[in-house]
Amino acid sequence: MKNFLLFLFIELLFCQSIFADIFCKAKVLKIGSSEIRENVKIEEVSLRIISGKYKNKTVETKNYLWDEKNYNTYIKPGDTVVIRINETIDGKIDTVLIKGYQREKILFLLLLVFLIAVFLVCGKKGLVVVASITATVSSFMFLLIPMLKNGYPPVIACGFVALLIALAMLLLILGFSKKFMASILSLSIGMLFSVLLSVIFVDLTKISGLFMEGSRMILTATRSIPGWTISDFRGIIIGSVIIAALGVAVDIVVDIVVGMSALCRAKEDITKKELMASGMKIGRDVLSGMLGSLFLVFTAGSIIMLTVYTALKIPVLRVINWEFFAVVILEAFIGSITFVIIIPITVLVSGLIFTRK
Amino acid sequence: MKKSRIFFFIFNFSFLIFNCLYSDSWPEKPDYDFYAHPLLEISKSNDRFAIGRVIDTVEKQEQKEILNIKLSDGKIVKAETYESEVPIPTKKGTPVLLSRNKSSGKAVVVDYARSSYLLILAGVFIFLVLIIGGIKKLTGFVAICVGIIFVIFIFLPLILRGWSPLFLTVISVILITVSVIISINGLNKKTSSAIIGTILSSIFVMILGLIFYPLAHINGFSLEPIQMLNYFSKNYTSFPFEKFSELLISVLLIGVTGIIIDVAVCVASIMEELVSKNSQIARKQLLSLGLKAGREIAATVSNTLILAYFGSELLLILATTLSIKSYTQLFNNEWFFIVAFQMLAGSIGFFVAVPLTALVAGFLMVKK
Repeated sequence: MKNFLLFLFIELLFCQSIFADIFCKAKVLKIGSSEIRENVKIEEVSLRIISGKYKNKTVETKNYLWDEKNYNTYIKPGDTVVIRINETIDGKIDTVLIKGYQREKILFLLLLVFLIAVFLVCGKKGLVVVASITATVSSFMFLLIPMLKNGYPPVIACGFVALLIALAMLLLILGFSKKFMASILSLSIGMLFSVLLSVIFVDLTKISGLFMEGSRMILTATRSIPGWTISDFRGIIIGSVIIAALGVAVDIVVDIVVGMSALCRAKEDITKKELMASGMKIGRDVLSGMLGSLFLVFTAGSIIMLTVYTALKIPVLRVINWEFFAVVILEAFIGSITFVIIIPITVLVSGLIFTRK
Repeated sequence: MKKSRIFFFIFNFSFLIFNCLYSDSWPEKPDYDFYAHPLLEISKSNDRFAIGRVIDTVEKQEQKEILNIKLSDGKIVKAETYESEVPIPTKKGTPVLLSRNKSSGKAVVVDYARSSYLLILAGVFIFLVLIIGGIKKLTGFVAICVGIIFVIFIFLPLILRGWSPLFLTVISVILITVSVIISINGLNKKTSSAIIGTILSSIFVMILGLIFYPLAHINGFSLEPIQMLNYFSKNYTSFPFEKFSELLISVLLIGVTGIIIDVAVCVASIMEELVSKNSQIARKQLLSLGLKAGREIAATVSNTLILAYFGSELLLILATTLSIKSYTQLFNNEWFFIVAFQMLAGSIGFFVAVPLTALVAGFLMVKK
């Protein structure tokens, strides 16, 4: 226990030093003499800072090249690297460390390739796609994460943001109409169902959320910054289930609602029963294609960890009872269950709405 | 004692992750304390694991308890709990995971047993699919499960023996695609064009990965699991694992296959319907109609992948953004690049699937 507290203390110190740091880009001017020790080669590097507060300043630092080549940042004169500057209390440069390669340009190039693909395939409709993706990403970045940071209950925050994203996506795809009303209503009922299911199973499997990748990081970070409180890790896990389920749910709801409304228009005097029967048929058709997609996404996410277990020959019984593994399975299954259960819900809701005179 | 150590290390190693995401030029040997990782202890100890239920408490000491536990085969054993900061409450009937030492036979409660509840959840899922979709819809799911089992039990051991992850991924993507599409729709012109379309677009995504990962110097070493894989495979297995960026591309490809399959099947069935309505249709006309319909599908699916990835990584995204202050830091972060690449390249994959499947279907379904 004493050890543990000691480590916590060190972590806190470490954290604070990180938060006082400045990250900026720098150009490598020249690489000086290098010194070779047991398993490391230390290069003297001089850099010119090209962004941020200390622009145009020249600094000296060391680049550590370990015998484990994957950890190293290899540089030559003329390269741009990202550096971390540690300031002293009175605002002078204390230490400079090379953080890594510059990647933002390549990220931008990738974004360009993505936009080209979208507009080539979708034509004008590409604008809708870009708008809905921008809406999704920005509501995560500028709404969900600040909400969580400020201590809102994660389930409510995630549910709220998910509903908002669904509203935006549906408005963009369907416009404001009866179809929109039917789909937003069925989505909300389906989402409530998935929240209920995840609350039950998170409780049954005694998931604390404390041992997930990142939980400890959050705990440490929130402790060192006044005003940030994130403690409900179970809530965050339930919230992430909602978000993962949302995407597939929107797809299937839109497919069913659009199909049913087309039927209504084609045959004015269609009975409620007929309409619902054909709605179920549409739902079943969509079901088979998408059923496994979520499982593949989640399998892919845990492949690296599973490789580690395979390499170390950890017993299967140990792995399947692990908390992180349980969370992956919960997310995949509850997402898929939502996806299945939302079919009859949508059919029922839109059957009622479309046939109302 | 042992338990508290394990918990302690888990905490301690999360601290290490914190360190990793910053991947500085490391002034200290980067993986210098992996030798004490709790996983290694489990790997070396050779303990056997068993699942049981708590019957009653025999003895209660200050920080640990001795319990009677009924194993799943009916035997009753005595086991003690670990002392730790996060103790396991041991009410009667709680399912727990025991680790039993082979030589001394001493049993210790390590964790809750979660597998039975996960099985219940799987049961609920299968039951719902059966009720709503009927038994035929389950075949697609079974095909995916077979694919996943193939990946975990054949693919992973083989890459640890030095096979190329890229080669194995291509094989498993082909396997998953073929088995899923054929199990749902049988073998005909529609399914063969969907299969070819899916495989071509997966290969396109793979090529994107092969171009962009080396450009951005991505090898995954800001992710803790990759560091662990590197350290453990070098020090504790006979085949040191080297191909990290290939492994990252496999992760990307396997995650995106499901959605590409979905889009390709949709496009192929629309094309088939068009041909069946008008068998004299010219190839050019068929192509333009198919593309138009495919657009709608791709536009509605576009958010699915992004939401799925956000959902599965929410905790880590939150943790990272808590500590990342400036955009320079975020946009140059290796972890961020990997996540963004998965989302963007995956989406590019299913957008490309629309014209590719339409083209293949156009050539297969119409003579001229």
